[in-house]
Amino acid sequence: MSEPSRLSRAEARVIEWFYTPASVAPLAFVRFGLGLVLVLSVASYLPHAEWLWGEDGFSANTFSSYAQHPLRYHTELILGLLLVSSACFAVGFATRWTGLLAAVLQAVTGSTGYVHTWGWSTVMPVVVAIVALSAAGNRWSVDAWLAARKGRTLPAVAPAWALRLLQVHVAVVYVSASWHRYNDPGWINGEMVYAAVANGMYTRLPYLDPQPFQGLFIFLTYATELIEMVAPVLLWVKRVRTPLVIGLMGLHLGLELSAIIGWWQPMMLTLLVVFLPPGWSARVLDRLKLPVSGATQPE
Amino acid sequence: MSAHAPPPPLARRVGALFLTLYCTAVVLLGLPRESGPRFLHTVTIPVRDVLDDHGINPWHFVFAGRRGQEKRRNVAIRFTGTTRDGQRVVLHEAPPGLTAPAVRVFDHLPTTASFKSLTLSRLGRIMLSRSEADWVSARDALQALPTLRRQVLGFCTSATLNGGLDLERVEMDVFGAGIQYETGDQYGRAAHLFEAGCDDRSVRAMTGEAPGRPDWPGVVWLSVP
Repeated sequence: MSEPSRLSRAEARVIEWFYTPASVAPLAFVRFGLGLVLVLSVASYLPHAEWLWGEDGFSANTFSSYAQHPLRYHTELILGLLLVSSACFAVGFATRWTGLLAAVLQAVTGSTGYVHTWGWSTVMPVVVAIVALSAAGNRWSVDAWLAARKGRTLPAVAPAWALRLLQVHVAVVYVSASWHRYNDPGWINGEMVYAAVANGMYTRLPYLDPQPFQGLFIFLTYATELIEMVAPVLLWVKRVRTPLVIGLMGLHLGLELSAIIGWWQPMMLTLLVVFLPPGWSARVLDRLKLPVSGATQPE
Repeated sequence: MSAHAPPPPLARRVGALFLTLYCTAVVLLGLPRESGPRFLHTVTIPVRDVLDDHGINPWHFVFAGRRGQEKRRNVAIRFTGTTRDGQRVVLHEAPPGLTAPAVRVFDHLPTTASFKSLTLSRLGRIMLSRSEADWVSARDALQALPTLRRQVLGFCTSATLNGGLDLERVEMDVFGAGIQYETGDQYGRAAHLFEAGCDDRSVRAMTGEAPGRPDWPGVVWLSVP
């Protein structure tokens, strides 16, 4: 029998990359984190939902494209369903269906023109759908608890394809975020963190005098630029992956503490977990001591 | 893979092909616009800036320069209605009171939506306020937005937006301030942007100064051309 061709070997590697068994712990963690972000974001919309999206509200009186939008005539129904499905998805109840419903409803809400958000919600429906279709409900979930009551144990490992898709999405987010910095004078001159902190639209401290901190802001600008530029490549290098992810988490935590850009930072902090060792997610979830933990621990 | 290993099942092969195509599409869609035809224009910006520093920039004959040390500082929007008995009522302010809290903890949805309805690029330009010519051009761009004209009229007619008041007219004001990177000096302008007649449903673009500027520490208010 002849040696397999180069194409066959490449195909085998791709198949192995997507289908090698992996712990479901990171997916369960991401399910819980993204579900929580959706619940909190929708809860924060509710007091102003009618004003912004209602039949005769701000969007209806501003954007002609909103005239026939389903959210205009079913504001309470759509946001209510989004809230409930997101909560169910977070705790892993009927994970697949509630996750897919939450992804669709989040996309419907986002399609109003994104005036309520800063871009994170364009990423959210896709990643929630991937997690919903995966085995994320197999552990630390109501689904796992219900299965255990019937004497069944859901698998703690599953083909890695969902983890891989999330990893690709995270890496591409950094490609998109970092590319324009190569030739932007604000980034080249080290002024962008200053600009963000000084700008009342984003900063948590709108009247802070930024001048005395210029040196710090220059350092932070270059540090941000560097870590986001190397991330799309080095996230795939096993030896440096964990410290890089911790650095990126520090970056997002710093951004969350200094600025409000919707739910970008909590979403990215959650998604970055897909690059960390699976045991880390399992340990964190175990410490939450959820009453709906799976019957057995993942490998 | 061993030479004698059986081929993977067809379903797995098709699945891997689909997943690979999906990942390729995500990567391609994630690539920035600059990788398209605008690439040359964009990559030459820093070169032009360096040449600018030495006053020898022949590129200005080809592309306009893009150097500026002025940053965005604060912005606010206000809608004021006048009732039939002449009473003036603030209908909506973004942020509430025109002044953000000293420490912002949560995002305020109506404020975000009000800002973003002006589009961030136009809003950013109205905040960079030192050059009079640039500021007038930014105001003209805002006043050309049909969405804003609809919005002002909406405050006339919508009970959700005006609280059910019977209004004669509605005015829209915009306040913007920039900050100089080198010195920290702040410059602001308070602009009367639109006035809508609620009876004849007309919207007029206005010039001149808006009353009641916000209390932004350190801002020097410039006259409105």
